[in-house]
Amino acid sequence: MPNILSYIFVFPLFIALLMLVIPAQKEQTFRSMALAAVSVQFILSVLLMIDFDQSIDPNAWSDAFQFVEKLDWINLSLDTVGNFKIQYFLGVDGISLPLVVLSSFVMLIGVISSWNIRKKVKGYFILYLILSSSIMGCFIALDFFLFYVCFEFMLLPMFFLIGIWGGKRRSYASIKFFLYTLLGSLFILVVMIMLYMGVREEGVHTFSLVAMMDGNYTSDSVLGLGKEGTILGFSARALAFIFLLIGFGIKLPSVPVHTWLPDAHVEAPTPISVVLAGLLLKVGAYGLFRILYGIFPDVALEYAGLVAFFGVVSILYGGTNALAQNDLKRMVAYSSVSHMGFVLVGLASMTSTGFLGALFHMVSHGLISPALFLIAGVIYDRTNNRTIDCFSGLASKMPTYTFFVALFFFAGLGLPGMSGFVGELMVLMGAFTSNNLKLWVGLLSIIGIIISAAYFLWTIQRMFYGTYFIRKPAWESNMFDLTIRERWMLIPLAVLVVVLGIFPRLILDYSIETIDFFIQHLSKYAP
Amino acid sequence: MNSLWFFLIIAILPFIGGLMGYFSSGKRTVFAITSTLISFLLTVYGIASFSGKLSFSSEWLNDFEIAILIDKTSLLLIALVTFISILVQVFSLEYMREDPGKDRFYAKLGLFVFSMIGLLLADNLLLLFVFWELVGLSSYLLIGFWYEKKGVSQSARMAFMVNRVADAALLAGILLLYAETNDLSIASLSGNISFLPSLLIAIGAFGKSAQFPFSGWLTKAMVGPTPVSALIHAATMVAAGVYLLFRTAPYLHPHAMTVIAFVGIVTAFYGAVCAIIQFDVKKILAYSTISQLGYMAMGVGVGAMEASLFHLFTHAFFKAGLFLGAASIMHFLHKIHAKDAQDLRYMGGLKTRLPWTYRSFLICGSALAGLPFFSGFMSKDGILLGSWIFANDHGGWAYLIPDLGLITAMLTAFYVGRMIILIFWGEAKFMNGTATPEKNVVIIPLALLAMFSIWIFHDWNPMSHQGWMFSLLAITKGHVSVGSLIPYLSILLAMAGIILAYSLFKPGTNYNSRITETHEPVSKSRNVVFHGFYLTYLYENVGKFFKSISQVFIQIDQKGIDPLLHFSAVSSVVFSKVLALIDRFIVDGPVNLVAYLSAYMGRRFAGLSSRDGQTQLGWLLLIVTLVLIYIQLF
Repeated sequence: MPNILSYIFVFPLFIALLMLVIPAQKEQTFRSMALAAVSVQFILSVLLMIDFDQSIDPNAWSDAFQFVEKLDWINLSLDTVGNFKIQYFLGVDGISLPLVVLSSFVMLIGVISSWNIRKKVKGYFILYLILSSSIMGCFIALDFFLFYVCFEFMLLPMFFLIGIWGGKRRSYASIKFFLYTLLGSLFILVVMIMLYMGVREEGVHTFSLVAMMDGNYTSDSVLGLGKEGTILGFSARALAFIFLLIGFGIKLPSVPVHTWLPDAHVEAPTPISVVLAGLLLKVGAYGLFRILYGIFPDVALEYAGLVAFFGVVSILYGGTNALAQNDLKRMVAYSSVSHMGFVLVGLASMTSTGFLGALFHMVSHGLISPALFLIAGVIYDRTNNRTIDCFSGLASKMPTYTFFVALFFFAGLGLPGMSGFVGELMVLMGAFTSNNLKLWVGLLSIIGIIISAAYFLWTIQRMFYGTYFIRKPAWESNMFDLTIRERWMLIPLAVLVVVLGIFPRLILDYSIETIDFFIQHLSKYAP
Repeated sequence: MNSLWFFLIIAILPFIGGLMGYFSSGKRTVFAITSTLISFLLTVYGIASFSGKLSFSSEWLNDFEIAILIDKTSLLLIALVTFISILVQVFSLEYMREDPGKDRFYAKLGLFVFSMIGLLLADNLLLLFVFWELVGLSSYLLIGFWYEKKGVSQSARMAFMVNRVADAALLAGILLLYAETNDLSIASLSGNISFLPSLLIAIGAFGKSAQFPFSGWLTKAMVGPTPVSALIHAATMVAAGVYLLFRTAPYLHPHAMTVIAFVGIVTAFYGAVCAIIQFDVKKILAYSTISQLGYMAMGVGVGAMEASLFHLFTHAFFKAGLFLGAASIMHFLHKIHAKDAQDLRYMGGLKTRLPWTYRSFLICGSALAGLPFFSGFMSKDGILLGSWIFANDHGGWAYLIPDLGLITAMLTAFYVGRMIILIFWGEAKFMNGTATPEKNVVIIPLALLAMFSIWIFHDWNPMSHQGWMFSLLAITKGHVSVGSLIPYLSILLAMAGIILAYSLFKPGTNYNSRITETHEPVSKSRNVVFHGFYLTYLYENVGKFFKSISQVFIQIDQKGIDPLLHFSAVSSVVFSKVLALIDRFIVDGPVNLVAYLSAYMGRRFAGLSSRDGQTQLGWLLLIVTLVLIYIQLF
């Protein structure tokens, strides 16, 4: 199918435009249209997955991508300055493909979970579909400018989705989220412009990520490899690396720039939390993969310890914080911080296993954390409350619910047989076998799996075990077990979590060649 | 037979059976029992018709293979697991008869049996770890089976967490080993593993096998249904640590082996001491399990791995027998009186009421106490002999190990004697209900387990410490023919322990009547031992410590990072307000001034004009004249 990536990218946007002309009272129409849009997107990305050639073993980044679409977007001739050129440049490789599929899948689950939204349905679904397109755009854009546009554009629908459909402190949370991530984007913007000025393709300055990853620097670029000269004791490349680390670190999020996450999660409506945890964090991680490590491998080698440090701190700090939470959603939000720390550790290891593990962990977390937020949403829908202390002994009242809670909690704490374990395991394998990392990285990361067990099990104990109790008798009439719709959100996630836990190569085989090439590429810079 | 499927079926069948029972309309337990039985029979067939080794591997991760390895050892242990689990499942037909969650119970048992078989089949340490954790999960689920009861979920969580800590150490050990050798196959282990991974692997084993200081979770695990305690927390799962040590011991660092030996003997002694003064029959058995597991670990540590494996094997039967016996007693007492059905102080005189339980308790208890003609004696002596040889080799401090081992043997006999006397002899207390006779589903498992605790099922020679198992497994090592006094010494000490117990607790003694009158658990001075040296309190405090750290962290988040943000947000707002003021008064000021001035001038000049046309024309004339004069003059 030619131009399949464009269809995947633009289709939800197109439907969103179509929705604009439909009268706002037809709420059911919007739901169905949104469902259709993301379903088509999902089917297309599955087709993409089927068509994807796993065996391509690239020699340079320029031949690593498949389904490439390349068009001029802006091509201005500014005679003395040269050409200003931005391309509409799409493509997927083994790193982005799993995320594309994950993205459309989580979006689909999100729509099902949005079925109960009653307020301003039209606006909600239009924003939702715009969000879907812009997230997808981040994963498939190969032009830095296009990536940046999508990256920024995500904030807009997200801001409104939290700010209008959110909880009590929604305006605080949405502004905090917006400003925080905008700040991160500014760091990225600076580096983007530096890179644009420094990289040429066919004699013209370019935003092409491929050219940047292949290192086509001009001779006068400050970012050129082995350039002399420092700013505050850092070389320009190191500085660019740190800027990007901050920028994507906020999105990831890594401690200490994580505090937007709990607030945004707690205030966002359930489906938006699902998208936020499942996909937005992955965009940050993907940026680290593609841009930070792809373009600055030499600095990455040098700063492996720093990245690992932030990873370990995120794992331990996020996990310990989760232990202290009394709000179910906040607990899950902090567990996300902890889990994304593993991605940093995997990247820092700079081994094939560690990279694959980080990528797999992203996919796995992209399945587990949406499920955890859906679970928190179930109890919130019924009682408008998700304080852990307000409930006890739910297992006897809602057995199916408890089953899914236990399943996903155990997946979250990395129980073997589920996807969470594989990701953590591979990251740890990478950390232990890496030449760049000291032993403490692996050992401290392992403590993370103890902490995650602590907070998940403690929550099970407090909310689901013991004698049945709810804080307000008025809730009693709502304490029914999962509805059909809720089951249909959780079952696909559960199946995938278990299947990927047992057969991780279903994902890994797509990525292995790209990652192997990536590692070879990195090893060229090894001292 | 020589196919992978054969073994996968053995492993997965009990789980499928459990699930079928759970999802079938009638919630029938027959599926679980039948499928486990088939699994057992297949395993026996496997043992009979199979020799050598078989291994299957598959590339689970890219460039990372996991394999299963089948040899006689694993098959024998699978047979043991499935056999005991059938008996436990049959027994539970009666024990769990009235429980509404019976189907759930069997499903969870099925999960356990599956994971345990997987653990025994795994050749790769990582695959072993996978099942190791799954076994921990099923243990958690079964301990928390009666989750509505107070304290149950805390105990389940504590058990899982303590295991998880040890598991993390095990994972670290495995990964360190992987970093060293790039291969995790147990079969291809060779040479010496360096000290740190050896120690970490050993710590993992200590956790699962409840070695000191991890042992506290096992006593907490007793809140689960008693048949579960029989299967998981006595016979099979807790032995997984010993099994791991058995497989890896030849390659572990010698210092780690010494650590294992010492931890083992300390655990053995600790368990026995704590068991002596307990009143809860399940606690006694739990501490006794800890103590026996200590023996096994010690056996591995001193290099008598085969003896440890043998002890694992014999212990599984007699300890499962004792636990099922305790279950039978509790099941009986629940119907008879409303008192705590696990407390020895409310028992007594059950000999006539539960004759089959009494018989099996007597036989299994003798095996535990290490009396000759019973299985426990044979295997325990193997371990003690091994430790004696070890001590001879190392000299000096190493004699502590066999010495403590012998003392522990005496303590064991003592508490076994105390338990049996207090439960079955003397007068019946508080019995006002009608006695129900034991049913067949109770009698048969008890009888079978008791039967296998008799020496004849392990070797013709009751003084042998090797058994047929050794020849079945083709173990040639460990044929020690030391003309040592150890066996005789241990018989004497066991006898002494029993006689001591009899003289202290025989019916009609002062002690017996005293404890029934005062319901004070124990004197204050013995509290430390009674609570197992407060290990569980230690765990709780570690947990509390982490919770307080988490409170500190949340403060950092809320009072450190966020206020920093708020400060920068507020200060930028303040800054922008100041800018706005500057804009208004300093930048806008002159602009406004100009505007004001021009407006003022305009108004002034506007005042010059008047309403009637003549004056205006007059002004016009005047101005035109002035302009003309100006032009003329300049």
